[in-house]
Amino acid sequence: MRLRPVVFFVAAVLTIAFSTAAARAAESSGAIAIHAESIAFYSDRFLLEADGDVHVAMPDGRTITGETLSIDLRNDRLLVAGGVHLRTAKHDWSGAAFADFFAFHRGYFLPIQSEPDRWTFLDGNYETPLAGRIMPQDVFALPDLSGERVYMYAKSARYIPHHNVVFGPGRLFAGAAYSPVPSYVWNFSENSNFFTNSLGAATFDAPYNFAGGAHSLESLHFRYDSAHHGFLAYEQHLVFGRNWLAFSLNPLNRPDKTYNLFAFQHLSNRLEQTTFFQLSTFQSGLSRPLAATSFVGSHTVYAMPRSSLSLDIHQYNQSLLAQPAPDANNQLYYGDPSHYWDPSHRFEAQLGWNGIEVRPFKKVPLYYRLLSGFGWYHNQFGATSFNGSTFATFQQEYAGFSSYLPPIKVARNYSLVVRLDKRRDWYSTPHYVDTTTTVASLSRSWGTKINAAAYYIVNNVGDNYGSLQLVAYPPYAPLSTWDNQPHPGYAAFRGFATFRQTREDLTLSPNANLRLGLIFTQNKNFPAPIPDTAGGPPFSISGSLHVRVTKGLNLDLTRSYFFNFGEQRWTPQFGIRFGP
Amino acid sequence: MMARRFAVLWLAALLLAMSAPLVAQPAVSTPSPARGPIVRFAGQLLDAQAGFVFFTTGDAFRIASGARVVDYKTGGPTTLLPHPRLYASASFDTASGEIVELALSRSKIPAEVSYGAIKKFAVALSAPVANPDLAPKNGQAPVIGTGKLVLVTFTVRVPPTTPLNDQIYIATDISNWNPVAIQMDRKDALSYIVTQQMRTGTKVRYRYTRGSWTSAERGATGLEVPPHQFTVGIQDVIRRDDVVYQWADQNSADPGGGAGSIPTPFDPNPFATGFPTRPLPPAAPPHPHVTSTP
Repeated sequence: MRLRPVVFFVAAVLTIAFSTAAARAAESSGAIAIHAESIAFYSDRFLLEADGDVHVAMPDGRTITGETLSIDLRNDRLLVAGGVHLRTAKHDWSGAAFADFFAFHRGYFLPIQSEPDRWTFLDGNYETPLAGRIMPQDVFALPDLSGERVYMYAKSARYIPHHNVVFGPGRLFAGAAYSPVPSYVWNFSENSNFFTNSLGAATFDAPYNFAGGAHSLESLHFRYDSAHHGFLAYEQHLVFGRNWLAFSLNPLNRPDKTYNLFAFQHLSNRLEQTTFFQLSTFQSGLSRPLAATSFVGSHTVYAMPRSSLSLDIHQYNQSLLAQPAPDANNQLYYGDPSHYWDPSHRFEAQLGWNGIEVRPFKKVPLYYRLLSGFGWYHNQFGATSFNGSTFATFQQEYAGFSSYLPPIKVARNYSLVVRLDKRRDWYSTPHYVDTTTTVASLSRSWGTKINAAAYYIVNNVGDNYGSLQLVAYPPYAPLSTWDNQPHPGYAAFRGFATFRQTREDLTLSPNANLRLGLIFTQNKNFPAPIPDTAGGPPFSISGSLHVRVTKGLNLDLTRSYFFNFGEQRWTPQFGIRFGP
Repeated sequence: MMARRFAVLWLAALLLAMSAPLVAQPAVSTPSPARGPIVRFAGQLLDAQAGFVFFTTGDAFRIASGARVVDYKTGGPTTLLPHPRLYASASFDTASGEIVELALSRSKIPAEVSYGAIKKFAVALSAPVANPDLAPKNGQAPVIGTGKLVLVTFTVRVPPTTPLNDQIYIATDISNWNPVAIQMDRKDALSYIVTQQMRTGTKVRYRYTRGSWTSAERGATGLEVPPHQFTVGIQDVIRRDDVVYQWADQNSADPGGGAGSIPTPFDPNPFATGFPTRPLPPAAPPHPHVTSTP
């Protein structure tokens, strides 16, 4: 039973390896090979520029040589200029420049015979030119690169239109200086599935794509976090249209490893499935792990004409290795007590029915959605406990709705939005929970640069045990670690809570490079919050500043003030985040 | 006598220019006397060979025998050779239509006469033939990447379950699908707006996110939707109005979006988060060998 996740994992890794090899073999025929004395890549402009003895080998066997090359990766345009030779199966033409517009299947050539001329090649036929045909004005335009930074220098590159450029040995811009690299893959695919992330969070992450093709991308990540300091991670993407798979090993060079595998399958226009497998181990290198746990999750959606079904399945395996021998104190763990043995293997399944958004009345802008479902939860070692009993299995049913009025103009520049959500969950343990959320908001804009909004939010949650209410929620005065005193006001709490929030937002965006935000929040809750123990501060104000420092770097600064709640005033430090 | 000698020399120079590529040595040669007014055109070079200079317009112009190649800034001799990417100011003899002087520069040269003034001097073997690709289709001019910057305004209506504290972003293929590439401004409780400058001819594919691909947009039934896409046309302003029906991380079976807010099988206790642990009656462990976990 516990070997199944490992078998699945090994099968998945083998699948990745074979798929990668197959993908590379399939794509090699569609690449354009470029050699030159110097190739410079301008990542901000998606431009590949080459100078000196330029040699271009096209996938159909043509070769083009010249003094200068310019490829616009975004617009699928290639231009070779200066002493150009265009060699096809039957001809060797010389001229001043040749441009290939891949997307339109058009080739434009400036041959020099007795005099210069203009030739156009249509639909991949490079043997029979059309002479004199008028060309678009910008066919031979060379980009103005003044002030642009080169991201990568190399002498050879392999370019797959719409997908990537694989550079040979060269120098890569690494933040402050150029670093020699044996190869580099710049992926600019129009398929966003190449850019899904399968790695866990880190304070700093710099990916280095060392191999890839039209369907694959392999990266080494240089990462930093406070627990591991500097470390490495590996990530692999395989993408076939709307289906994709991402695998990662993080950290690569630390013992507490996490192997992640995400897979997404678009099975039909109605059916999609996402699978997530995670194996966490404590192991040196790839040796036998000291401890191992796993998680498998699956999310399947089946779309129907006006609703959808969703099936969520989760399986946890806390300890995959055999039960360890007890120590002198009868404690069970692997190696040291931090790797405790836990035989539980929780299983969760939930089938949901979700209606799509409906507008029942033509003249009233009211929208609603219905939802309902059934859940099943099992853990042989105890799924939940209540009133002295432990339940290995329990079920849940739920039903509810979500409704709202879209923005309504209430004055010249004001808009009102109202939302009401209600839901009931029945549990077999036995109790049921009612949740009601009401939100009203009023917004106003001053042009496009200033925006203000006020919100009033009420959230009611009631956990109903009937005659056993006092058993579930007995009178209880919690002891706060803040003042080391009991808080008797909490004793009135019987499982029915009301959270009220008033919030005012102000956003200033004077230009695209600067954004200032201010949020004031007032919470009035029952039960009342207790510092360091329960609930958040009654009053808070948060400021945020977003600045574009350079073309590719943004800075976000945030800080909050809590009006002396539990002697807490300002957040200890500014929240600082640099991002692309 | 002088005229005959001049004609022979002229013919010899012309043949030389036709047979050999233009090199920098003409900088020291004597320019041929102009026979008409001189006009100067500034542009970027594509090539210079066989007695012709090619600009990035794609047109070829004949270079006069003994034409001078000079430095644009000093007007004196230069070590630069006519080469793709260089900028040049070409002096045309309007009588012959030939270039009598080529002033080279590595940096852009301010415009002088319009291209229309020298277009008539362009040399081409074949007569121009109409191109059906460039004909208007459905009354619309074909989109050509002129590079003109166009204002594109994106407005999106998000689902009412969108958390108030979350930011909305646009991820585009232009920004290599960075999920936080373009941050949007809140317009009202359900709408966000942002304006960007994009160049004409650019094909744009984009998706809305809440900061990561696990919180990207989904369709009305929860299925993944293809990216929105459009081509930036030759307009002053473009408006894109979109609707996000669901977010990927707001599991349709768990609309509350997270532990502690709505009870689910994964979170049967609605007050599990942010509330003190209540003193519950002790439960007898069903498995005698289970050691309590930290």
